[in-house]
Amino acid sequence: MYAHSSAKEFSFISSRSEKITIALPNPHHILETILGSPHARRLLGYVTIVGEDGKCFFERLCENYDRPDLKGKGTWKWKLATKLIDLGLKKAGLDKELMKQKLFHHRPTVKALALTARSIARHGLSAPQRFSAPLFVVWNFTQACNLSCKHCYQNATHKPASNELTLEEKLRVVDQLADNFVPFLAIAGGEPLVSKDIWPVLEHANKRGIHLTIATNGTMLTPENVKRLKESGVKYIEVSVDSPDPEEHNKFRGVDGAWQRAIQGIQNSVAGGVRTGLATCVTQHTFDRVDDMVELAIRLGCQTFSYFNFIPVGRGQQIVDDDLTPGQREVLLAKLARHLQQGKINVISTAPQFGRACIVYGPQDGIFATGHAGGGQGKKTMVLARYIGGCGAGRCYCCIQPDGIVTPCVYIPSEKIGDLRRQSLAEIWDCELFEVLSNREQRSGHCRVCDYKRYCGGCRARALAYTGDITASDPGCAFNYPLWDEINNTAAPFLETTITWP
Amino acid sequence: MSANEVVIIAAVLVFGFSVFQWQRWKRRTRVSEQELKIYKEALYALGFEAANAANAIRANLLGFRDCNKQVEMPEHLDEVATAVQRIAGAVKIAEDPLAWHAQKSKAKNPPGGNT
Repeated sequence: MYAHSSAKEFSFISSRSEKITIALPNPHHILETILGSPHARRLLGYVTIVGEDGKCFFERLCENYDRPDLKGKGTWKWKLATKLIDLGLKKAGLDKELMKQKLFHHRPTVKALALTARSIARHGLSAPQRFSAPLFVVWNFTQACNLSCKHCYQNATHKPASNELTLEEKLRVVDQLADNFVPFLAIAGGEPLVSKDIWPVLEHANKRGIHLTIATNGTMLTPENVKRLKESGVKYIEVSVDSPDPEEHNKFRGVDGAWQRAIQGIQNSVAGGVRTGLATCVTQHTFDRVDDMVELAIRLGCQTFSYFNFIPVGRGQQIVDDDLTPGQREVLLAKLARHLQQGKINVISTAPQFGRACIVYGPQDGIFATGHAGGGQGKKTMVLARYIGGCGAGRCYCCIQPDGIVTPCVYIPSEKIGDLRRQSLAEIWDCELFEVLSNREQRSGHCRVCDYKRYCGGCRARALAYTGDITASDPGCAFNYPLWDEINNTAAPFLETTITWP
Repeated sequence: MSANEVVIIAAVLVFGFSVFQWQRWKRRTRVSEQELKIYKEALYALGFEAANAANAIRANLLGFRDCNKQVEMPEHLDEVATAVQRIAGAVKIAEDPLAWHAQKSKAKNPPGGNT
């Protein structure tokens, strides 16, 4: 049982598991049968063995696909492979140039596919899929920030922490991520743009073929910085705005003029031609303004609206009463699912219930959110969502703290799994807690019996923050109302303590 | 017309008729297969929509009950909950119609016979 010792008084909460949902028919895809066979597993294992050049056969195959400049011994086999792939693409009715651009010669996609193949070879095909390395890493780059937000999970300060990684160590971390096939890296903070190390790290990560995104408060997004970020390979910039009302935002962020600077930052990013997103942490104060926020994002030219689930960790513990009730969250998720269906803007969320909400509130052939991997349309995406959807903490995603400590999620700073200064990412990733987090049967309460558990799994950070048990039901979900009521009638939320995993 | 010619014409006619019937059955089978596929898809859609609608009602009913603890006629909400239970039954039928049919037949004709 993964529970903090002082959370024992909450153990009665987890014992409730009255099933509320009705089973929905699960769509099936032929690939599930193929990839589930032991022969396919062996083959995937073979094509992902890393050679002396640090690349696996699959990577070399994609790299050498349709390359007229290839010369020398052994070229014939890549030319033959190209012909065979072309034949397959023609038969499937796929556009060769598009596939070349978006798949074969797009390094992060190749890395993601190689990692998926390795994961199936190692762990077998499982719903949800356990990955052999993170598909997505959020790096809290520095503790320093130029704002003082009320809800900051990082407890960021105006100065960097004394034990933050040095530039040399940061570059080594990038190498480790690339060597382990990590395809997607999001740089967050604190405020990442206050650190001078950000530029060499971004350039190095870009050179190593990692897809880069950055989350910022937008106050330092000058046209020059946007240009430099674009040149450094950043593909997506996400700016946090908490309210369409400047005063509300400034009060929340603790600095006058923060709203105007954030909005200017978004405009600079959009004008700079970088894919831009507006991120909002919805609380009791802004619950009624969500539609206005989405409208604001559309008006500013953002391509993505990102709803951040408020979790009472860090400074957020002091404003725990601002958290939404499960009923409010349900209404909010339904609204966001409708915005996603309308197609004016892409909607993503850190709330794992969003994947479930897209299924519940959207049509059968509508758009589904697949958690960290974005969204897509129709039955095939729904099948995919079963494997990669929902909470990815410790399963396909993890967080690196400014001092190199690895935690399962940015919102779970108390669970220190390993230290990249002393251990390799591969060593850290194979830990017992991540095994538990990857297995959604190892949950208690409604999250264990829920018919949407493969698409959601409940927010582990919320479960831990409120009950002290990382495997407990997510008290933020409408299907867990009895648990929410019990917590509210019992005591204040569980206060965070630090546990170091062996 | 010689006897041989009659035999040949008859054989050709029989052959032609057989081919015609064969093609007719083939076409009918194809149509039936297509119809079966459509029925299956319709049942899947029915199950999908009904299950999600019922789950949406349950989730929002829980939220509504919590916000409105002093509802004047809570019996209405109980009726909604009961109706959702019936939708759950309908989803089960859509999920496995053969099992539903077998169960229905079994209920009609119990092993010991109707008494």
